[in-house]
Amino acid sequence: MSHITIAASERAFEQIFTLVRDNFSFSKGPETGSFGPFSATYTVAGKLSGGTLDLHDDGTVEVKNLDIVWTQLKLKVCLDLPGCCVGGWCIIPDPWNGCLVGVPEICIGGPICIPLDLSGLVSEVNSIKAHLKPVYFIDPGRNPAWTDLEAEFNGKPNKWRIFLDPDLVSVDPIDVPASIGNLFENLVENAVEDLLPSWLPGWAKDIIMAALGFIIDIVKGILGIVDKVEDWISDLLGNRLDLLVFLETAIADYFAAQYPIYEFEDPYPILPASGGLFPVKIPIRDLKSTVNSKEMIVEANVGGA
Amino acid sequence: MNLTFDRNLFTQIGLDSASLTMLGTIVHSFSQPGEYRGVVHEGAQVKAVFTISVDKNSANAQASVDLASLVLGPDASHPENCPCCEGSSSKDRGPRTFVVNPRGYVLFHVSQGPGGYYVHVRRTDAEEEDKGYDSRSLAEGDVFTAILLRPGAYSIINSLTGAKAELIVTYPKRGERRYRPPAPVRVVCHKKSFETDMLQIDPGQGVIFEGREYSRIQIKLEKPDDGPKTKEPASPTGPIVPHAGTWWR
Repeated sequence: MSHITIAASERAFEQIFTLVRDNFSFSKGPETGSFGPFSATYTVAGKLSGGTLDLHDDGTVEVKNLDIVWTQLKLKVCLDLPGCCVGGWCIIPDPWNGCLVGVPEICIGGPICIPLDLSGLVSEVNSIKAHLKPVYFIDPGRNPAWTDLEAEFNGKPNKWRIFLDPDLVSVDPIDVPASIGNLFENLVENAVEDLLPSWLPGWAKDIIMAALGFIIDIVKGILGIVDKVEDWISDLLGNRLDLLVFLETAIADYFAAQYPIYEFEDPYPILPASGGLFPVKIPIRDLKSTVNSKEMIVEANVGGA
Repeated sequence: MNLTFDRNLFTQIGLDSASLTMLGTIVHSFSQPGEYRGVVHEGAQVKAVFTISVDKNSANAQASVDLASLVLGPDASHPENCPCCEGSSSKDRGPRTFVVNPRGYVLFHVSQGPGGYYVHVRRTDAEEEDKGYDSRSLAEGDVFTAILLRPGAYSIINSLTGAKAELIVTYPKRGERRYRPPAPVRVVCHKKSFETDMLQIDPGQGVIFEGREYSRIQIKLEKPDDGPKTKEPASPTGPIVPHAGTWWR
């Protein structure tokens, strides 16, 4: 039987989890991926919100319906506008093999970018399955020659930390609303026209737009959109730009190694310093932590290793 | 495919065969074998030199001389043996040499920039009184090609003979089908007239002037066509698309 047993009810555990969850944030970018005829650049930032917690008798913790709030989700898709070509025709035909002298072709067009600001979008972490993992922490700033007392006086005591170590993190695809897909289609023509150089005279824009034909189909063809635009955006962000993997890794790394759900000093102070006396501290060893369906349990023994 | 939004395509509206820009080319045949020295002029200034080797044994039917590349120097868009510059060679550090068969043609064009060039080509062993070939005066058999983008009404003048013609460039129509300029039209330059003196073409369509007489073709915009009235500005785009200008590269 362990010398020390600490228990926290499921409700108390939920409150601890809320603190840990609220401390999580992520940001990335600008990052660019190149996909042949187009490239995409994104800048993202976000935090976690909501979620329900279940403790199981097999020692696992399950978090469900955890929201990812994208405080910043900016996507810029750039492509080479095909424009139109003039010239390229034959001046002096050759009766034997087509053309003796031809005019060089001049192609009018260039790169354009379509920016999308999807900030405020909410997606979901489908499930996190984790177990508790105690880790003994020695502050890297601690002088190896210090005693435990000196380490405490210098604010760098050793600690036992308990992490929620995920075995599985499953993030749902980013659900881009259909309204954004529709809006994207409606705006493409105006966006392309607006994105042509401002110095380009109106008649030149009209030539280029006439050469482009039905602009939605052209842009969709270049971007490889075969079905719904919103599905394409979701797939681009989640899979082709690897944001789902990035998020799963960031969440797993955060819970497993960056922010413990609980920590305490070792040796553990049982009487604080007072009246010129040193504090009374006891060393903790053999720390174990687990959960059952009702509570979190931490057990440890007292004494040096 | 090299795409460009070169401003000069849209700001240089007229054409002059004596001052080549991106939308004009000249084709000339050097029928006598031998070595020729060419000079690129911009007004009174000499901008570059090149040589043309007219060789019976050459398989080149066309040598394309990019005057902009000669003036500005070769760059990544025109590496050696680039299809844009058939027949050219710049292995040594001297003037670039173009090789062509005497039954072939040399095409002078401007691939980028404001242009405004003409060329003077002369045999290296020419007699003193031999003035050589000056592209400001197109010779019989020369071809000048013009591409007109800006819609409107133009006047065409052969300033060496006084011949005149009129040209209309129609305004483009937007539709579901992609617009492609039709095949070029041909105009023969006679002593006192153009064989076709009333032309109507679509934007980007070429006009090929075939010289039967010494010519200098000048095309001038007389009345621009700005098309239908500018449409109403688009309604606000909402938070999904911020102002496009901030994203333009």
